[in-house]
Parts: sequence; C-alpha cells; structure tokens
Amino acid sequence: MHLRELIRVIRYAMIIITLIIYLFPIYWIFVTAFKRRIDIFALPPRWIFTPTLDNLYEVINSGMIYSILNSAIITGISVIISIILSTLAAYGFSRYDFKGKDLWLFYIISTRMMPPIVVVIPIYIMFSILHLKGTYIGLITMYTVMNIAFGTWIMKGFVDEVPKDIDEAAEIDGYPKWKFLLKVLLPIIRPGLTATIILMIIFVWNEFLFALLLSSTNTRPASVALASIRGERGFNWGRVAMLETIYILPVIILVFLVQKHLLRAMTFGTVRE
Amino acid sequence: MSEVIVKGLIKYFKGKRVLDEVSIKFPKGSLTVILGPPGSGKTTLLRIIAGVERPDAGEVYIDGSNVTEVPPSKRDVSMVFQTLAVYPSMTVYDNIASPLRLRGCREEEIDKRVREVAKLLHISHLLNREPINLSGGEIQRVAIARAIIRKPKVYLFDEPFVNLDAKIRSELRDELRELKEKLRQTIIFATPDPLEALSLGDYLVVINKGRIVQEGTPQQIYYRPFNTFVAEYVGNPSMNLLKGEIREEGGKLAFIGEGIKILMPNSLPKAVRDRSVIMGIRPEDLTLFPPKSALEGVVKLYGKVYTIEVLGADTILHVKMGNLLIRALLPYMYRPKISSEVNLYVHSSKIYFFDAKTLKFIEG
Repeated sequence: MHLRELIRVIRYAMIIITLIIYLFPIYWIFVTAFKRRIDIFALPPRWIFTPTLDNLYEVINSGMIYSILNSAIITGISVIISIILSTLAAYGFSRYDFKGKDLWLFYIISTRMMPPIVVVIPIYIMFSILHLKGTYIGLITMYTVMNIAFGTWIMKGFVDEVPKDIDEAAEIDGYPKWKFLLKVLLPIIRPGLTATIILMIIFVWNEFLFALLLSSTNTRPASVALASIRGERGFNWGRVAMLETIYILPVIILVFLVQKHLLRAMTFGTVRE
Repeated sequence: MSEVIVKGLIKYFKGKRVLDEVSIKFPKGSLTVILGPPGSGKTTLLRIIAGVERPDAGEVYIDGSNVTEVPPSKRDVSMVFQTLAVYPSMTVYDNIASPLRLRGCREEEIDKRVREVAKLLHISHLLNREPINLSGGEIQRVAIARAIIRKPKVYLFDEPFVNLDAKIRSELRDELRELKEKLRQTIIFATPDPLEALSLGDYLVVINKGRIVQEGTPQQIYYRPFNTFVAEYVGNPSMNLLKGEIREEGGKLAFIGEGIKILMPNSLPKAVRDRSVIMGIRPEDLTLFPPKSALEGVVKLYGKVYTIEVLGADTILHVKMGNLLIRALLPYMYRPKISSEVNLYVHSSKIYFFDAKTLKFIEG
C-alpha cells in the first residue's frame, strides 16, 4: 500500500471514530425514547427491541410538553425582536460615522464578555423588583438583550460586505431608506441573516442558567424542564429521552437546512465558502 | 441640456482636505472628464454633485438653482459607480426599471423604455438574468442602462470602466462615445486614465491633491500642459522630463544637464534661454532618424540602449543619457542590442519647457 493511501485510510478511520464519539449519545437518547422501561435498564444493552410510544404519551399527558411550547414562545419572540434591532444597529454601525463608534461597538460586545454566572445575583434582584421574574416578558427581555450584542456584530460583518455604492445608487435612484433596506439590502444579506437567526435560536433554545433563574412553573422552558424531570422511583429515563428528542429535533433540522451559511456567521462574515 | 456649476467646494476627510476650493463650470450638453490620479478627489467631487456627500463649504448649482441642500433623489442626476453597483437581488429588467418604478411610471411605459435602453446597450438578451450570472462588462452596461433610463439632467460616471479588462473597457468606451452623441446631455466622467480622458472628453479638468491644476479642451491639455504634473500625467508612456540649464557654450546654444549636453537650435525662443529649465519631450515625438522635411531646428540626443519594451506594433526604447533615462516610443517593432549606441531626434518645436522652480510651462 502506498503511503498516501495509508494516510487516507487513517484519516477516514479517525473521522469515523470521532463521529461515533459525537453521535452515539444522540443515537442512544433517540432509541431510549422509544424503549420500554425494562428495555432501558436491560443488561447487556438491547440493540433490538419493540419500539413503543408510551414515553410520548407520558410526556404529553404529564404536561411536560408545555415546556417545549414555552421554549418556542420565548425563543420565537425574543429572536424576532433581537434580529430586527440588531440588523438595524448593524446597518447604523456599518454605514454611519459618529462620535465614539468604536467605543460603542466595544461596549456592546463587552456585555457578552463576562461569564453569565457573575451577573446572576444582580439580575435576579433587578427582575424581582421589576416583577419580571417568572414572566415570559422577563425571559424574552433577557435573551433579546443578550442576542442583540452578538447579532449586531455578526450582522455588521455582513452589511460591511455590501458595497456602499449600492446604498448610494439606491439613494440617487430615489429609494426611500426603509424601502432600500427592505427591497435592496435585505435580499443581499439574507444568507447572513438566516444564519444569524439560527444561531440566535440555538442560543435561546439551549440557555439554561437564566431560564432556571427567571422562569416559574408556568413559563419554564424545556432546558430547565429536562433537568427537573423526576419519576416516583428515581429518574424516568424514558421520559427524559423522549423530551430530549423532541427538544433537539428542531435545532438539528434548522442546522441541516442552513449549514452552509453557518460557518460564515460564526466567523463574523469573514470566511467565504 | 443642463448646466452644472460648483463653487468653492471644500471637503475634509478625517482632518485631511480632499477638495480644496474647487470651482468648475461644466459646459452644457458635453462630456467633461475629471482626470486625476487615485486619491485626487475626483470621486468626492462627483459624489458631492450627486448629493450623496455634503461639502464642508461651497455650493453646487444645477441649471442655476442651488442644490447643495437638496437630497440626491430630487436633483435629477444619475450615477454609474466604479464598483459594479447593481442590485444583486433583482433581475436585470427590474434593475433597469427601478428608477422609473420609484417615480410611479405606468408599467407599459416602463416596459417600453426598458426595452429601448436595453437595445441601446446591447443587453436585450440579458433582461431576465440575475446580476450574479453576468460578467463585469455586462453589469456595467446594466448600470449605464439604469442611469440613462429616466433621462436625468446630469449623468455622472465615477471611473466606471477601471474594474473591467482592457478589451471590454475599450468596447464600452466606444459605445459611450456613441451614446454621448445620442444623449446630447451634460455628462461628467471621472477617470484616472489619461488616454480614456483624451479619447472621451470634450472638456478636461485635471485635478491633483484636491485642487484643479488645469482645465481645457483635450488639445489644450495635451499641447499646453500647465505644469510638469499635467505634462507627465497626460500621455502614455509619460513625458520625459530632463532637468538642466539652457546657455550658450562656445558660441553654441546648448542644454546642459546631469552629465549630458544637448545642442539646441538658434531658433529657440528667448524666454527659455539662460535659465534653469525642465525640458519635456514626449516619447512619441522622438525618432531614430532625423525628419527629412525640416532639418532646421532638429535636436539630436544620443545615448546607449538600456532596455527595450516591445508592445507588439510599438516599441518603447529606454535610452541612458548621462545619468538620465529617457523613453522613446517607436511606432514599429525594433530590437537593437542592449548597450548599443543610439541617436534620437526631435524637432525643437515639439520640446516643452518648464520653469525649474515653479514647474510651470514657459510660453515661448
């Protein structure tokens, strides 16, 4: 065997091993969701079993499914608000010169520099005083603020790439500003916009710390609900796995749909495919 | 036909003066070229006329009314940009139609006009395509079509051809010349390319470091360059400039420079004698043989061949004279040996003289 072929084989072997390491837990959760309790605890593990939907009924009947709904409400509203605000902010930062522009940009990103745990107590107190604790509005506000910082920076990268001449051509042609933003700029930056929205969704969907802190029983999102599932006799792994499966599915689907734009968004628009 | 006048324009960018009291009266219905090296302020000037940039001082008049504070869409100007600024999210048709749609034209009227200008610019077959599938030259045609469709008072072209390759550039230049005759409108065209300026312009404005150096017809700019900057800039290859002194030596008039001495004819105007000068000779005015017709007044230069640039039909000969290198453009292919001795001839009437201190042209 030639050396080059050997290297190829080794490379593929390593890719496969890595994939197994990463994908096996997801596979395991997925199959567990459809196992009966007796199959879950079987030793040695049962690779072949009769699938059941019992866990799904339990998740629905026990009301745990509402946590997914909560996640969807909180994620949906906060992402819509933050993408609108951060795209407008990004356009402003990209196109206008004003005093302290760099300082403002730095200030915005600096809000994301410290670990969230540092601000947990002040935020808890603040939200308590404002009666926002345990409400949808409280969580939505929190996530909107956190996403705007990140969204402004990423979207600025995408807007920067659009030549300024296009703005000016539109201005001379007679486009009102709002019409230019909607009809000309938005379609150009759509790939970036989509990727940014996905990253924002993933962030809110996955967030745990603030969700735990600021939600109540009625507004509890799935990330917190998952951690608090307890059965009468220890953890009910079947339910956990089922809720987990429902929980990760939307994100996996979204990422598959837009994966080619994601890389550019994660590198602030600097890497081209 | 509209008249554009700018008065005392001043513009600062980050504390640097990019336009320094620029005043120009652009002639009605003709194509004025603003010629200047990169960073000379051409684009800024055009952007101020278009209204997308505000001057720090000075005014812009279109047809006698002061439009300095008027937004671009109300000035009735159109602009073609250096970067290929078409709307990537729209088809070619929608791109061209957009200025009319924004002005609320009827769709039948729009359709008629779009097809008209598309035909004029030979892009009828591209109307349904997306800009991303077009070449640079095609995109610039779309941009020009979009600029002319609404028949504005003034057309602005900001270095529209610099990003295109040479063949397409000359093609579009020819077409613009035709278009100019059809439109008979006031066109302001910025370019860093002196050849483009000479070939397109009815009127030229040479700008450098934010100041107007000279304005006039292409003939005036070419044959009466105001100073060494214009002389060197307008022409390709650029003019040879030799620093030295004109004085009488041993009863004969001569140009004496660094390590060289060139005999000059007695017909040389008084104004250039007995003083330090910069002598300018265009490479295309130098010949290998003395002209047969007029032996009187012919100046002979001699030196050694330094390098040869063969450009197909033409040859640029670099000749070392003393410590100086001069270029001669010969209208044929010629390959002498390197370091061989060579004589070059030029008629004294084709020599330009500039003052050594002020660098200004000396009228003879």
